Amino acid sequence: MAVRQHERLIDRFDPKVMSLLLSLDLKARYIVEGFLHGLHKSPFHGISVEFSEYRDYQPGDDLRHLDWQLYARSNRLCIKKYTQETNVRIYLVIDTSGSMNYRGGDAWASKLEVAKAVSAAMTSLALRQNDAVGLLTLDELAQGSEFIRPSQKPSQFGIMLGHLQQIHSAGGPRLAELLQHMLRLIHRRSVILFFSDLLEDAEGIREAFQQLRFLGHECLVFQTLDRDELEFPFEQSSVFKDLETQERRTIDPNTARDRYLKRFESFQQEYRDLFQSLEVPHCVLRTDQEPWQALSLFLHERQRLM
Amino acid sequence: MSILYPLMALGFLAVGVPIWLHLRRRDESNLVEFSTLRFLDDQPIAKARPMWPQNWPLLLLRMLALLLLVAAFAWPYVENQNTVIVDESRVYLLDNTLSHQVDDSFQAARDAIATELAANDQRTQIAVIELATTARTLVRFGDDPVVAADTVRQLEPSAERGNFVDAFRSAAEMLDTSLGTKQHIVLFSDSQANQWAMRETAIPFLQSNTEVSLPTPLETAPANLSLSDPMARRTERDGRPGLEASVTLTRQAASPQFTASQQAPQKFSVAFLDRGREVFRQDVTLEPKANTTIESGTVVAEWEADADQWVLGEVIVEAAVDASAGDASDALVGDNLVVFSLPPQRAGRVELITESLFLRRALDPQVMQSRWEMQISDPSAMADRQGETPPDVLCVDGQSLLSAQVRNAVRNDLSSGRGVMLMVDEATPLVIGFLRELGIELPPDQPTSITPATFRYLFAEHPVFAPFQSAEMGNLEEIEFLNYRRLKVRDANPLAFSASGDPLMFESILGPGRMLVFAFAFERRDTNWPIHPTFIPFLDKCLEYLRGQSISVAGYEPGESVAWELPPGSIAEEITVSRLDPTTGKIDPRAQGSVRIPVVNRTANFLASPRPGHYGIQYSKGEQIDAVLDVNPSPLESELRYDFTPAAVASWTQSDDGRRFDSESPADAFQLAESEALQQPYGWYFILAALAAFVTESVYGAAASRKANQ
Repeated sequence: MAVRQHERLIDRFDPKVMSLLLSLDLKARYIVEGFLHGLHKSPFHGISVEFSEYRDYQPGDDLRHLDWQLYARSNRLCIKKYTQETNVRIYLVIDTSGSMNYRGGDAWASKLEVAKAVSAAMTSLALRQNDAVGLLTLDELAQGSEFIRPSQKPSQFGIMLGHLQQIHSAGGPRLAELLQHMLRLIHRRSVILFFSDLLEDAEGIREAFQQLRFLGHECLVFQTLDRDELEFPFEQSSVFKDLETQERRTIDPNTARDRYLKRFESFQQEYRDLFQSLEVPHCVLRTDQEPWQALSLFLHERQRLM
Repeated sequence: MSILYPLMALGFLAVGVPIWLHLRRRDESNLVEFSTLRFLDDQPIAKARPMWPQNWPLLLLRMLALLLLVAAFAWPYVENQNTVIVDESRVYLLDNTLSHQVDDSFQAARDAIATELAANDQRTQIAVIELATTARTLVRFGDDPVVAADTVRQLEPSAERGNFVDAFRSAAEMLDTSLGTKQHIVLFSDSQANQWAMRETAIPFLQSNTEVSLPTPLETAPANLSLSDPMARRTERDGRPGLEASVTLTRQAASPQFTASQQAPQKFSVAFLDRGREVFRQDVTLEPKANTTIESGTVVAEWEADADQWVLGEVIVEAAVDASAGDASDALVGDNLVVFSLPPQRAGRVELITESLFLRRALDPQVMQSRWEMQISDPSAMADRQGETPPDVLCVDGQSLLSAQVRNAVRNDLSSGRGVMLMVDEATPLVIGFLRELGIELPPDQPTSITPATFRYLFAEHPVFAPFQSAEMGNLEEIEFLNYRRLKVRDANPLAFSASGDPLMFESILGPGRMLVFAFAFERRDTNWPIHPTFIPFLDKCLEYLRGQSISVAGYEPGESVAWELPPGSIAEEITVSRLDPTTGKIDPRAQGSVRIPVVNRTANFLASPRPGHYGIQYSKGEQIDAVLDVNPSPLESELRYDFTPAAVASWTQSDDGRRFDSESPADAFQLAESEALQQPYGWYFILAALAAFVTESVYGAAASRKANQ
């Protein structure tokens, strides 16, 4: 049953359509609507305020909250009291190092663009649940951070989209720096959705993730990777240039592939171990595939936190 | 030459740019930009980008384009057998004003310049500027010498009055873009003193290194006889139409010597001609005055003249040949004749709707005789004018405006192109409203008492006031105003103001018809004008003006700018100006064609002919002459006093601080290159070739890039 549902989701996702959609808003809608259409049961719980108790009306109380039916029945003026449902503060954290600019031949967008589209989709979903959503990223020249305070207002979606569209990736590795910013800026318990290709040493960021967990934050890591990075499908001998360090190497993929895949798998395993030890959900977000697995993970974790 | 020298640095930059561009734009194929090489660090490091040209055709094209650009700008400095080094740039200023015709000086100067042009060896650039009413460039630097010499030889002497400063300024502008290291202005002129006196305070414009050659001083200023200020008016004596004309005769003795013969009284004969027929001749004796070399007198003539046709008059002065009388020489012949004209006289019709007894008396047939016919109308019983010939001028006062028929008559006359004379003596709401309609505000709170006032400011050039500039017509300053209305105008031109600044007289500019508005009534309670000698002449001029008839002699100087306004009732898209034969009054067949001038906003703008005489103006095709323009030389041209060391030249010359050229500074090299490059057509071909090379390079580069991508 699960396999059949997954197949239907894949059928509805067309990478060509995604690559043709220029607006981040449209990409987010495409992802969200397609995702919701495939679900049998809505994952949402009633996002509303719940009735708590009555109290006597006092001059100055808002008449909108007066229970007229009770007044008609008992001739008593009573005010309804509600309990506001506790909502979650969600931070979207996006890595903007130069390697996020990479886009393989089969991808529907670069890694950064995929991260932005999925972030926008998650923002849309979260705001529907009355969650507060914010954004944290480093600016292009790494001279400071881009920080949007979480809010659950409907206008937050437009603000988020505006900032997401302005994000560009450039420069060298900056994952550790980004995590330090997170520690400095995010104080209250929050859900942190972390988008990065994680092409840096796991040891360098272990401590930062440990601190995040220690502070009570819930972290979800969406490792954005391209098929080229996962499978190294190149055939022709070429000069490869590193997008972050500008280093150049002459590489014959046929001879280098096996060793590359082996080292890459080992690298990935390090991260899997790290996140497992920290109880941080980790999801690989491929640029050539549908992003609904990430959204499912997000909603699942969201439901767990309620 | 140091590397810090700007041109050297630019040269290095120019050599380096194409190579840098070429290597920069080199296509890099077989390069994969990958997210990270951390898992491939055991692979060999790629060699550095080969910094050696791979696409030789592209590099050569780029270098060729740059070489062509360098060649284009260097070309002016390349000497070959065709290269001409210009030593001197010279501008001749040829004075073609009337005064320069003394002793055929103009012809001599003209021939000398033409000879110089024909014999020029190209090491001297020569330009020629004609000094007339406006400075005209006859020959430019680089013009063909033969053609230029012919152009100068064909130049006819004119009777215009010129301005030295404009000619010098034009010469300075030409020298600014000249090639010669030496700059020279040569003035061929009589160096008339009053020409130098004009605009001495102009801002300095002559370069300090410009040499100015002035004419050779004359030992004596010659004696001269001249006529000026012709005036004429129609008269009537014993019931027969006549004409009275006057002219000023001036004699200037030779200077500085005062010989006994010069100080003796001189006899001259002044003849008045009407249509070529001598009608009056008078011998005039001018008595020399002490301590002055200029004597003048007015000659007045009177004769019978047909009132129905144009008067085309000429006045000629001749020196009486009397050896015993002394020196009667006349250096300038061109100022011995002046012309004047008067239009045919036709009695005009005035409709008088006013109680003013003075106006009724002034327009009485006994006073105006055949000039004006008066028709007195009662405003309360004013009949509809349909079927009647309307009057030329409607004369109304404020009280009569209370009648609706009168107000309608004023509106109709103005819209039909007829004249209206309005005296404002009432300030009732109805009058105020009607005046507002005419663009005149009459504030209801008029001051009760006004200090007696006189004319303070007059539009003296206006046709109704212009004749009064002559004392013979009477003194307008003697007129007093005891009471007048304080008007404010919106769509009118003030013509006269009182001493306290209140406008006393306006001309409305509303409709095709002319309207004169007076802030007072011609009554003794308002002014003493009705009993002043100027009243009737002034009234006559006002009525003539309102009728649209030419009032006085339309006198212009040769070459002067004329703005000819069409009279009311005339419609024309263009006017034709032709020289008239004074004997027949028709277009002179010997004259060189007619000039057609377009009419814009009922005004034709043109320059008066450089030759004195009568010029007929026609508003339509045919032979009828609608107006006559008189062109007489300026009296200033008859003042043969010279200044051979004028202070003006020094005041026009810039100080050394303002000099532009310093052959040692690199900036001057650019300025020279700019001026010389304009003379070198090959340089522009090189620039075009360079551009073509750049275009080819771009096309070739784009094609190569496309091929590499495939």
